[in-house]
Amino acid sequence: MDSSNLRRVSIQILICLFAIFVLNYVNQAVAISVGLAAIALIFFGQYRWQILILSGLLVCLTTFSNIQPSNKFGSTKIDYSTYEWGLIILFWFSILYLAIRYIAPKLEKIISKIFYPWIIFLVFTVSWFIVNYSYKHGYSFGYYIYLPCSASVVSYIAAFYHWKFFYKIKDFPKLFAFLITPWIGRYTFPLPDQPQILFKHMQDFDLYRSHIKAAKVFLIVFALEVIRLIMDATFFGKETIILGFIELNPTSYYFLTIKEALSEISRGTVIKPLDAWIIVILDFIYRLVFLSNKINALIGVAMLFGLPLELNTKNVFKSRSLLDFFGKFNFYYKEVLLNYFYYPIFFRLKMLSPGIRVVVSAFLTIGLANYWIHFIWNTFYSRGQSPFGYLIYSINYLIYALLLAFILSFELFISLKGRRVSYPPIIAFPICILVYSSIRVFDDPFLGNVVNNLKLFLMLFNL
Amino acid sequence: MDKIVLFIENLIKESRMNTKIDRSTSLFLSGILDSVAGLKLIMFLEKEYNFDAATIDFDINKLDSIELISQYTGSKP
Repeated sequence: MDSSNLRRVSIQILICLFAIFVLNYVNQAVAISVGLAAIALIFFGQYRWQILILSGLLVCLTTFSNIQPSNKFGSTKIDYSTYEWGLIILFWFSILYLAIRYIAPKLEKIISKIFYPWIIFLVFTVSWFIVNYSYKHGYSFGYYIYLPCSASVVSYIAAFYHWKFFYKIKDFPKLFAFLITPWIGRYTFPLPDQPQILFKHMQDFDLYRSHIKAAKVFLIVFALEVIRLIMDATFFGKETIILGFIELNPTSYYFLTIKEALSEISRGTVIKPLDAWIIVILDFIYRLVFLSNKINALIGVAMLFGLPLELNTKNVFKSRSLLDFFGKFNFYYKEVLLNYFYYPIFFRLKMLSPGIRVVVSAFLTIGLANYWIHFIWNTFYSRGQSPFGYLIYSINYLIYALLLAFILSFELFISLKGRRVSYPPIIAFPICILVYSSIRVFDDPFLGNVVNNLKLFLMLFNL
Repeated sequence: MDKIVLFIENLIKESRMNTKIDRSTSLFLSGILDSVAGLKLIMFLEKEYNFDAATIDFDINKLDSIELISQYTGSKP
């Protein structure tokens, strides 16, 4: 790409971003209808990357800008919660690519050092101070300026860590140029007969497969998002769902979320064990679907760019053990923990016996590193608090991390001793749901003090 | 190298997967082996081949196939 193309690409990205902001305030019905039309076109063979990108953007919009028109307090105002994470990261990913492509080789060593396991603690810590400071003093400049700078984004960018040296991808500049500017020359590979008949204009087989995969991901995300909204309506008191032109008014059972349950407990309410289990299980499943959609939609967008990424949440129903579930639930986060914390710690503890070495590394990784990363990136909750104040504020997350570390280290230990920890999914998956739901009581720094979390946890066991 | 192949086949048996592998089959990325099996493999390589992966760029995916393991450990496939 010469400089005029670079300029053109940059301008197109900016226009695209502007369009996204405008679209975000257009009626959801329009967005969903166009999205469905795009999907229909794909299935009728009118396969064009523009349509796929459009459908990707629309899925992001409809996924993260929905649709909670009323709540149990009687408000009828449509509350658009705007979480265009996928789009914002796509935008910054593109800009980052354009920015570093000429100096990337020189940056490689520096990037490696930044990801060096012990230095990563320092980087996260410094980023916390920067973000905290910028949030306190820079919020008025706009949410969207703050957001891409947020340490929270680090966790989403983690999905791309496999591609931290992505400028090395073969023909990436050409691919990128093709995706952004359709008039630049492309397509050099002949396709097998069948796809060529169906999609004559599409001759890059890898890209074609990647796009088809992306379309499937978007469909799954869309379906799961509908399930999430139905859960919202059925269990959590969101009485009306608007899906395009369809308005649904399902019966709501008004189960409390964990946050609401903690609030009730702080007022002295005692929750029966069965109710408490329903609350934590529903809350956990809701979170599972929400997290899955949020990151898998982003990965779908990456697939449109031809990046062969794995899904972040995949086949959780096929989990065979607690550790297996942890990996399937949040694949890239697990990979980051493994590669930047677990293995480096493990390799440096050669003096310990194998069993203790495994357990100590797992405990340090899942307990302390996991807590530390959350401590650093949960900046939304900090809002100008001092580090010490936030430490106290998030102490329940420390309990969560230590509980998780204890459970997973124990499973790892008995697995290395040759005991059986892996079971058929039909047995293992419900156990995983029960275990993870119960410790979810301490997950995320919910408002309130840790005593309420402990009370809810004990109520699960009628204590 | 036979030792490595045998060890990996045992790991696959332990994971209750009925998969046949060859020298280039992906072990970790494909999901045939999980991270626990990865640890067992690393401990085995440390013991048998004096393997040391305490380097900045280590990634379990560098041991993703028998071919890659042999390259990384310097043993002949």
